[in-house]
Amino acid sequence: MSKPNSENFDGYGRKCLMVFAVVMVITLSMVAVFYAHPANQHMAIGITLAAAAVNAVFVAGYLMHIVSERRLTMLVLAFTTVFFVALLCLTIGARLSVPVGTVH
Amino acid sequence: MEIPYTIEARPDTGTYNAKIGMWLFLASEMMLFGGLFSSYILLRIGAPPGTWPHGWLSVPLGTLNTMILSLSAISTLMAWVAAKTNNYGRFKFFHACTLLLAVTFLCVKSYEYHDKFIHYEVQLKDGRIADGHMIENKKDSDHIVLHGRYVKAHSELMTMPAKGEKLDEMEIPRADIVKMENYGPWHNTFLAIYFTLTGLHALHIIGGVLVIGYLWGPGSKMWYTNHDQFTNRLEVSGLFWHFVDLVWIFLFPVLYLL
Repeated sequence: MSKPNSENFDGYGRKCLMVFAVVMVITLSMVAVFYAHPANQHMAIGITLAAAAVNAVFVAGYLMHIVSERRLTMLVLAFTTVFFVALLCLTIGARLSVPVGTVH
Repeated sequence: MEIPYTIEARPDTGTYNAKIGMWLFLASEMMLFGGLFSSYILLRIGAPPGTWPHGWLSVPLGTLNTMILSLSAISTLMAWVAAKTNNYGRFKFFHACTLLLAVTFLCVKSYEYHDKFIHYEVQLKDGRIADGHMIENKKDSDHIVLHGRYVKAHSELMTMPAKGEKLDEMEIPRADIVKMENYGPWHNTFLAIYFTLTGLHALHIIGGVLVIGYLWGPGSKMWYTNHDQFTNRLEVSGLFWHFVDLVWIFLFPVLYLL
């Protein structure tokens, strides 16, 4: 989304509302999946988390202007993402390291 | 002495100092919430089957709060756009909307918290469990009154009563009670992580409200004295507000839907 100027206030507002509409449609889809009680729970979890990630991309990309941010900001965010993923991997790794049949 | 790079971009970073500072702060915030999300995942996958509650939170209220926070993210962005385009009236209007929406979010959250604090699980001497909302709990009375249901096993409480299931008013003599506890953060692991995550998020909302309220009120004098710096302050506070929205976008499905 381009940065605003005095001529395109209304156009910018419309784009923001479009992002809001997309976020709401995705959110309502997640709620619909919840109420549908799908037989495959793993698939439902996957769909819900993927939908939340898409929502996050829209908010971060367009509302926080990450798509047009400076290289340094991208670098900071990339480093944080690496550490964040490593943190999640540590958690999953800790869980997987528990021998089967034992209590953690 | 004038503080440098409050408006113009610093040559080595390519942006003004407050913005790069905010991004670094948000990076640390990501790790803070990341640690808690990580704890949630570990607790959730480590819970024995049938012990993790499902459907304890109100999905309609959670959806409503998602809508409120997303709308406030749009209004805070529009307030910044209004400042960029030098429209004071629109700035005041959109920032007032943001404040109102933020306060509404906190009211809905408070209602949800209150609902949990008046919800009790009462273990009885005959082995049954009474579960429901407290209606009467006078200190000088020899009984309490709950609106809810009786169950035989604790595992039956892991799902909320189905729609249409009849709930009764239950008068329980105090002499029959072994243990009584409300659905506060001390009740079980799910509620502990729920209150920790949403409580920390609510603290961020309160912090954001204070900053946005200042910029809308007394801080808005800077609109006339140093307009560019004021616009930058709006952008930086907006970044924080979008981050708060971003965290909720993950909190809602993880806590309410999964």
